[in-house]
Amino acid sequence: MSWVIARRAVIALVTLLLATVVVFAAVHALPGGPTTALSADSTDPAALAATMHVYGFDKPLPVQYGRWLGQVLSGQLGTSPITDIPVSTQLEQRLPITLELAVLSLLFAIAIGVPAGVAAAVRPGRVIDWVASAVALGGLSLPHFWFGILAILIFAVHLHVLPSGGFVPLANGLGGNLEHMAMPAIVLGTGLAAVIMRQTRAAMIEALGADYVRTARAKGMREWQVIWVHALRNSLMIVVTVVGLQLGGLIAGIVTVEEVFNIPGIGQLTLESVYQRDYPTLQGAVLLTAAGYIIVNLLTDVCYTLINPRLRVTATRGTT
Amino acid sequence: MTAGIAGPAVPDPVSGRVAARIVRTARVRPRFTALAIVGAAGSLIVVLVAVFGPLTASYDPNATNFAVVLAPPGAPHHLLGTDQLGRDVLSRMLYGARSTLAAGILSTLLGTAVGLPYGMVAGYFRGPVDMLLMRIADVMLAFPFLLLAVGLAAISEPTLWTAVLALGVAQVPAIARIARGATLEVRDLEYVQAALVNGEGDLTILWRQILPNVLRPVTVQTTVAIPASIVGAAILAFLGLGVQPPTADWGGMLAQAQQYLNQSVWLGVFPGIAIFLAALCFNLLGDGITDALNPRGR
Repeated sequence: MSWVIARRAVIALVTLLLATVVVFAAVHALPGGPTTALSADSTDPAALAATMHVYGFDKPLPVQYGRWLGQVLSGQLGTSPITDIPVSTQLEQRLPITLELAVLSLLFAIAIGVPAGVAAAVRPGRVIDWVASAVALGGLSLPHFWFGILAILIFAVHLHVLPSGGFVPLANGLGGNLEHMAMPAIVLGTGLAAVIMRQTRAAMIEALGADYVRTARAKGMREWQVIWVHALRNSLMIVVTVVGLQLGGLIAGIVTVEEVFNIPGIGQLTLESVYQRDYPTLQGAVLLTAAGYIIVNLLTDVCYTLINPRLRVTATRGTT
Repeated sequence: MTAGIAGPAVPDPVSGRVAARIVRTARVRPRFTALAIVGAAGSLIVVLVAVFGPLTASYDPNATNFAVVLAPPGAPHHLLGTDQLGRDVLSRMLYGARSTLAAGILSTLLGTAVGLPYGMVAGYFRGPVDMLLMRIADVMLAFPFLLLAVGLAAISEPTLWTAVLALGVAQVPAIARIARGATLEVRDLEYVQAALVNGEGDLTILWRQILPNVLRPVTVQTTVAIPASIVGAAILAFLGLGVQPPTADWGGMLAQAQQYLNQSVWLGVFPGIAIFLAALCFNLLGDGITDALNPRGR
């Protein structure tokens, strides 16, 4: 089994390396690259050449890539030509904010999605299933950014119970931090909760019809134990998988929610750097996001292999 | 242990419960089918609005009229009111349906058109071809549609077409994986081997023997992807990474409305409801199709 995980890790590493090539090539080899952005600001060719030399833009592309990759590996992602702040510093400042938002919304999604899915699966076709399924379908169709705008209108503008946006660091007090994070996390978590609910419901309905559940019931085990211990334990694997699969959507959600609520995270940094054509920052932010995506996918795969004994066998056969 | 409580006198509780569940599940199905019909009808209406709606619009979506700025819904001659430039909101909504839906549907078609043959080739030839194609797909998977759109926006001016490209390319890996899996399932079956022995070429076999088996799971994925792409297209327009103003688009209308919500809440409500309802109808339709084609899928 350990070599299955090792194989996964190697594949992830190769994917990561290819991703760096894609990021680098996309920004540099295509029209509208840093050369154009810099030359737009400067009319003096000598000054331009000097600037290009300082940032190494006058070297051949493979050399630039090698140099850049070396810097990336040593944690140096270059300096933003627009703000003059090192990219790594900006990422370091903003990553915890985005991570907090992601974790809080994930917790919210699991806290709502799993119990709702179980409740719906225990009584399929009844009122509770009907209501939970309808709400989930609604949550699935709701665009984050619109939900966010509505939430600001209701809770910040009209009721004045929560701030309309911004961010307070944890160091300045947990209360203020959570007050600012509550709305964004709930808005972001809603869509995910809907997906988790639907998957949990489907998995639980299947599990509750399985032989081992019948055996547990035949043994005279209490119904709540059958549901919450036996059936749910198997269904929880679904949550792990769903979180992995939904990550792409979660990243889009994070960017929009950070934009709507004015949260200075990685998403907002990415958008700012696109608008300002700040290429080193953009490279760093996109690379960090892609790397995060690959790493979380790897962790999902590993978790899945560890939890599910059946997969250990199929994984050895190399089905990916 | 509570084993003794349910003695032999009690009628077998387990099978009773299972039977009840089967009956209940049977009762559930028709309602979901009814919902699927509602979804199909709703989706059809949304598509019809996108195609023919602009013909019924009473105003040019970009015609400004500073005499009636930020008129509330129900104002004379403006059923849904006007925006900050005095443009008719209803006319903009009707035109906006076009770009939002076009981006949602075209991108899914693009993703399928590329992902389907991609996955089939990987699954059919296996070996190094499969390995190479799937590693490339893994790399693509690491760039969700928003990152692709960000990248495209950095390279060129964002338009409806860069949004379609970003949303479409992002769907390729998922569709390719499904197509590959379905191809692997059938490629070693006797009838495919028989075709091979008959001397049929790889292309003919892929087209005639394998494609029919791959279409079903890919259709399921496609119907799930369309509503997500509609919301995705709206997100891109909202962030300024897709359709650009002044072109009417539901996501773009919401972005502009944000600054005027204090004066006119409605500007931020109608386009959102439109996106929500369009996605909801396509989700209902998708659920219905998934149910019909893939009974174990839900």
